[in-house]
Amino acid sequence: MANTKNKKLLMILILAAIIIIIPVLTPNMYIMQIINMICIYIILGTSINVLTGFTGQLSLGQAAFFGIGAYTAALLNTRAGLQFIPCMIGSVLLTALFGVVLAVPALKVKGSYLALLTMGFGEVVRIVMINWTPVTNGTAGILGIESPVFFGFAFDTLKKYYFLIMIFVIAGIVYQNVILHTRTGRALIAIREDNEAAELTGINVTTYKIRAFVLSAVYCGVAGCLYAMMIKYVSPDTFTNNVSSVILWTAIVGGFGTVLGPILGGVIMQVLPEALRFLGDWRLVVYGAILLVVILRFPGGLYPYIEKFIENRKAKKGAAGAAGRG
Amino acid sequence: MLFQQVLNGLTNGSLYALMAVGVTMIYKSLGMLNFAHGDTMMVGTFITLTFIQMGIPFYIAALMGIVCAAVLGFLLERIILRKVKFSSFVNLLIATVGVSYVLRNTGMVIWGTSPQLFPSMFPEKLIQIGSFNITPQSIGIILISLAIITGLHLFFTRVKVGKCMQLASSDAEGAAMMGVNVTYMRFLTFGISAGLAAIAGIMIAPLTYARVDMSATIGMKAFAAAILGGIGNLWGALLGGVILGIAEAVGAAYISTAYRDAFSFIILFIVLFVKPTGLLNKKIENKL
Repeated sequence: MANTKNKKLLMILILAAIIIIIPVLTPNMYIMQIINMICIYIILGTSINVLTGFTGQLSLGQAAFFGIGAYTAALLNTRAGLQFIPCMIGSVLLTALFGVVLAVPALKVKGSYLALLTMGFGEVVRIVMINWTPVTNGTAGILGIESPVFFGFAFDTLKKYYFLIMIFVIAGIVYQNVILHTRTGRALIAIREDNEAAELTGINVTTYKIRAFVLSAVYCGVAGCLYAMMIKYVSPDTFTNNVSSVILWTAIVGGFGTVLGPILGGVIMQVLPEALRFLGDWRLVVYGAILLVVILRFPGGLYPYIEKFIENRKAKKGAAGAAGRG
Repeated sequence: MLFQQVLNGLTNGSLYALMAVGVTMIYKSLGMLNFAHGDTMMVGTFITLTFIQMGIPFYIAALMGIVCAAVLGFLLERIILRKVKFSSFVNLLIATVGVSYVLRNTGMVIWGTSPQLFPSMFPEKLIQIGSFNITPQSIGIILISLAIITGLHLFFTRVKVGKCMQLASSDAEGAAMMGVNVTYMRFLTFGISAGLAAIAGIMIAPLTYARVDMSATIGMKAFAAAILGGIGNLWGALLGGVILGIAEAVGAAYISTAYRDAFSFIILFIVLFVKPTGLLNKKIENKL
């Protein structure tokens, strides 16, 4: 027992060391930017993992929440001059509110209708971003967002900013893990497995679904706020349908319904397009094709397969060890 | 003014209807929306445009575009969807989203993102009735769409292959027992649906310019129209398309032009909230 506890502690320490050492080893800002984007996509992947992976509510409109979070932060910062924390609170509150707004019609439908509803929501939000010029500045977007400053310490470079994002990534994953093992998590999974059966066992499906939508929206809001403060610029082009698809794939490629899946997905989804840069214009086509193959070949996402592979190797090793002793 | 807007709405609406018919056919046979429908339309339109630019006469180019789109539909079913058929519903849906992503980005690489002029097959001259101006284009579009939908209705109720398709999509097991090749029928459904999308695209493009990003908005309007009318129902698709088109035109004229595209989605939200089965369907489908 003590052994496993020690092992766990060791794992956490190693992980912490890796997290701290990453920005030190990063040679240039280009790679740092990719790493930061991976972190933001891990949060986004977690957001859809909560909604689709655990609760079974398919969403193709996550980019809308991402955008609402980013625009809220950008507006509060440039117009009202607010600092990082109030901006973050604003993003969280507003995305939570929109989460409820989307959840109410979403309760009535499922499957492809739900996918369409969320997709339409994303499109409406984007149309508003483009056309509500006095507030959102239209297609030109909002420039001049300031870096976060805490007690005189500015997170003004990508490397410093990495640690700020990492706090939210870790908090997000830990919270997801915690919620999974509580009554709420079990209720969400029950809803995914069988809506009617969940209702019959006394789970209040309506409130839990709304909660899942709000939680997922808030994750996106946090990611949006972090994104706006990092890139220092937001425009409607960043929050298109394509981005919603990428967010969905982040969770799918990693493995829906697994805690670590979004991390794996985030890394793959962000590294792959950069690795394909040598293809020039065709890179997004090849990117899509590769993802399609992954979806067809590994229906449950990559993480479960990797887990199985490691377990198999362990079992083999164990067997070999036993044979050696015998 | 109002009459003019209603006429514009009818024109666009009958095109949405043509798209919605394709959506509805696939929904009936597969039980899900084909999110690559709009992109199939875009590809068909641009292939036609490419052929026209190569100097091939309009009608032959259009025919080739439609055939290419139909082949694309066949391939989509054969290569992608047949492979995921037995895994989960979510994967099936996401596979179509993936195809849509690939097609859209391919379109952007080949044809660029800027809007391109698309020749119209109708004469430019206006027809005057009283104080109203009607373009031959509107009349042509409305008539062609009506003719195609009526033709499809006859195909599904009179022709043997059509009847088999109808049977295969409403009761796959029963159809298989009656000796209908269900897989082949599904294959045909995808081809016809994609061909219809290309026809719609060729008629939409002269009105809005041919642009790669038209796939997303028009594709979603097609879904909205299909659901509004009651999915799985040919006449429902027509009704839904027309209502959507008119609501959009009138809304754009009297409320705001900038939010033109938003109206159809707001209507979609309302329909999904109030009557998810659509206007013409009474039975609640278990897929909802």
